[in-house]
Amino acid sequence: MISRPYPNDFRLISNQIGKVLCGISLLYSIPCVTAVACGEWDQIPDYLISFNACFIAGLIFIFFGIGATGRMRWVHSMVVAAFSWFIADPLCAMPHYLSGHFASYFDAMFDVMSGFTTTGLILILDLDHISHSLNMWRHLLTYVGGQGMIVLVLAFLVRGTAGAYMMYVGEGKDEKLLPNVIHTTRAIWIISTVYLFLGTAVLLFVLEYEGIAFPRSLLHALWLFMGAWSTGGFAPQSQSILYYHSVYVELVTLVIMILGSFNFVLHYAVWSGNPREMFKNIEIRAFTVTASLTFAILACALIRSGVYADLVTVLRRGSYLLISGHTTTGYMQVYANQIIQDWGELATVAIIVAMAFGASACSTGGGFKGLRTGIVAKGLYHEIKRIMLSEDAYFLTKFHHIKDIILTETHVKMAGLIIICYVAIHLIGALIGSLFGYPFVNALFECVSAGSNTGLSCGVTAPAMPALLKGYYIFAMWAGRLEFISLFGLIAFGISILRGK
Amino acid sequence: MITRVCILIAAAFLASSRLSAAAPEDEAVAVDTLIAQARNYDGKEVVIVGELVGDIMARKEGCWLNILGKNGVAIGVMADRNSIRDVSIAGDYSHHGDYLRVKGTMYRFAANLGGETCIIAKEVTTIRKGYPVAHSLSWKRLAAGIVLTGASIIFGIIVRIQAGSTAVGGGNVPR
Repeated sequence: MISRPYPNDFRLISNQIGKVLCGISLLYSIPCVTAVACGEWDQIPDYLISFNACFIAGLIFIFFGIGATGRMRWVHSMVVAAFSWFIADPLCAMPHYLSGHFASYFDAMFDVMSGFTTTGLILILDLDHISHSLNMWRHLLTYVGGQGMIVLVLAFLVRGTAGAYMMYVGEGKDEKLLPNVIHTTRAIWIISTVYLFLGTAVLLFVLEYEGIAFPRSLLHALWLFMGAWSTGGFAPQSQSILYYHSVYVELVTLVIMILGSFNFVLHYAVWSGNPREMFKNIEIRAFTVTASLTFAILACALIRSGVYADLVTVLRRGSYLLISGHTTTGYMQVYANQIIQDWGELATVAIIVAMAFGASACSTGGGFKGLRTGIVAKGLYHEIKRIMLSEDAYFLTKFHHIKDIILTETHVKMAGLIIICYVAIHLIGALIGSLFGYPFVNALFECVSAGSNTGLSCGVTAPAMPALLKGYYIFAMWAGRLEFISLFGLIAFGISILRGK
Repeated sequence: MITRVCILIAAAFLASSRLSAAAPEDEAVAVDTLIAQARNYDGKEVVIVGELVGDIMARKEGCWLNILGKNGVAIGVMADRNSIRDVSIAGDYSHHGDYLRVKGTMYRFAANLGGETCIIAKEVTTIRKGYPVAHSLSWKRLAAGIVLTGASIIFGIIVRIQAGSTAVGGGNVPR
């Protein structure tokens, strides 16, 4: 029998959502400081309004959560994770809308969800003329979204650990770097911050060399790092990476994208003196295989199309876009329409497949994740081996992820289920896109890009696209980022409200 | 009579040539059209007009400019340093960039520039000089922000008091 939630369940959930919103509201201090530093005084009231709106919303949730007793349960944590992301979206879209660079508030919400989920699809108008502070806000959202907004709150604002691990899992990160979940979230932020300084410094040097003057070079370096590390793909100019016309910028962002797509557990293992893990880890192996295979297809398609004069250019253009897609970053150094129009359908399919595979589990990236791809591949290998050997034969299949793990049916079933969910949202999105008149390949490309939180675009995403499609992409980005787990929790909670006794 | 007619024809010719010089956008291809139909323009001489945005990036081979067309699509232009001497203001939040007319060869995938889709400029002319854009502070928004700050403080105090009283007295809420 399904039991209907008690008022205390709502209080527990409300209290935690309130804390998350209050935590997020503090982020407004960073664009505000940027506005002061850059002399953009006219922007400050926008951040003041937005901060207070978010903070008051958080307080309202806390108010309704006063008096909550008992421990958080899994369902509570899932609802908190799913709902926090959903409520934070409109609350963080205020500076976007007040800037006057969006056709509607819904478009602003689309961009914020795209940022939070590290997708990178944009509906912003006249990006080349937005303020530095708004650019800072956009990139900060994607940087925080990459680590996870609940991870942020757990790392810095929560004292106890009751329910912390469940909320951490609810946000799509189910592996611990350290035994304590609060220490894990802090370790994630330490890793990201160290890379932030290193990456920004390298990009600053490159941008100065490429002719961008200080302080713009510093801001661009910071934003490019945030966009690449979080695999968000936001860029400060409308042409994305194409704006810089620089092979060095491409090389550095390529390295950052790959690092950002790695599992935080793997980063921690390497940092803790276990560099060999890089070569043994199932996710790295899966990434190497899928990236090599999709690149081979893409390179064949590019050579066949004859658009590039030499192999070096094929390697440069092809590998960048493919890795950008595979790591689910979405940085582009070709125009959106050129992917299908000039590169051809085979190249497009290779990029779609790469985007769908995605990055690593417990990373900033999206997609199926290397761990699930590896587990399903191992499961297939196990079944083939079972057929080949005699019926009495008993054997074990192992995979290596920090330690050797024996493959079980549960592993394969769980990985397979999540992959099926991803495929379903991709296909439904492609169908909706096709119904609105977009060619199927274009619609599929764009929906896989949204659902896997990549952000590469073939031109479908535009302010003029149908509102229903925008709404579906928002849903796909959100569900894909939370890896469906919280979505299932939210559905279960909804059912218990409606049908519980 | 013939002299008058000749003078009229000459005057009309001069006027028409002046008019065409005053409207350089007439012969220009829109940047978004150029990108969408890059195959048709590949290797051909084109004219574009648009606002210089971002940065002027000086490199060994020349200077990279990014020209933003009317419909929000930008394209890279590789220009010789000497041809852009009077180009100075690039568009951003606080500036409208120089409005330029660029004549050059369009490349769908320029082989000598790493496969870039760009224009290699032969001639860059400033149609209209860029200028600073003043953004004034909205007093209404500032007032709204201050009022909301007050509301935040008051509501924060209420929540704190309520949470405190619940913790002391009535914290044990039954399920």
